[in-house]
Amino acid sequence: MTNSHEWDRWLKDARAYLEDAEATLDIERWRTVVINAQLCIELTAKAIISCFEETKWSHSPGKQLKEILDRHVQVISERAGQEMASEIERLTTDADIVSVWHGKATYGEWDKDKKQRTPSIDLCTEDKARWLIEIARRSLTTADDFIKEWSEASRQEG
Amino acid sequence: MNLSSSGKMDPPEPTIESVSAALEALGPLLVDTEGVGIVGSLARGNLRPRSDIDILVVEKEDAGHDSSFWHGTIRECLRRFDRDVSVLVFTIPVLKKVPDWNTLGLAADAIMVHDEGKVAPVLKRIVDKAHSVGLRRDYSDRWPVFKMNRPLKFGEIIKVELEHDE
Repeated sequence: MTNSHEWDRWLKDARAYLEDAEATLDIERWRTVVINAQLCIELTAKAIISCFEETKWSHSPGKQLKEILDRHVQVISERAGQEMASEIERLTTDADIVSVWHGKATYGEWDKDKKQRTPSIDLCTEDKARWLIEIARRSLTTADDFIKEWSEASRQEG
Repeated sequence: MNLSSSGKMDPPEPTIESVSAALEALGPLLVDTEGVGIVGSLARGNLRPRSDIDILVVEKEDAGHDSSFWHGTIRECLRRFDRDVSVLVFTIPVLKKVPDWNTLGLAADAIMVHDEGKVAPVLKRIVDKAHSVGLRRDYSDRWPVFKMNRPLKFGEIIKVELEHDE
């Protein structure tokens, strides 16, 4: 196991999920956009986490990423810039906010009075799809940019 | 086992003992393995009502089974527990490569039910190697993860792998 192989594979899969989301946006398959966008966001957070430690088996990696950021904020700001640290902080929040869509896009959701479930296909509207894919695009950019900096630093050290 | 309100028998609660007994009943099939063990939340003692049962199979290199064989066999022998079952299949050389971060957790958690003598020492050496590079098992939001016992340098490479003869 090397952390370099781990961040590579998470990032590769994140990129592929975004590509799938973009492809299904064009044909207006909103639920498929939601599913793929949420997974892109989740995996971009895990790509950054895996530079530092083992990722939790969770669809909600924001808290683990936040713990890492808090522990390493100084070195990240110094080496990758304050803006990068802010973008990672944003990803910690985004990843947790969108994590509920993993379940909703799969199983639907109970109505407020818990009398029946709204099917996932009805929950995953165009608005939700466009909102999630926007977050996915910026999450992938954040992970790409951070891992580029991290990899470059690895090469210089090695 | 108890009767549910529908009159059907409730499935038995998976325990280390009951799952071990079910795995041991595989009998002659175990000859094709270096070892079989329980991993995941059952091994750690925090199995929840909807948790999977996670099983490690370390297959002999010349066993000749395809990838679906152990998944189907283990799921069938644990069917009475009425739980999702995850089966992780390795050989000794693949285990020594430590394919990903999660293999460290598997090595730390495994309770071997059947072991021809090679698996437990390899799992221990994997954990020892992790410790030797500065990794420790810690908890992130009550979830066990391997992490460094100090802040990382920017760009630091972490490598855990056993040599062929380790």
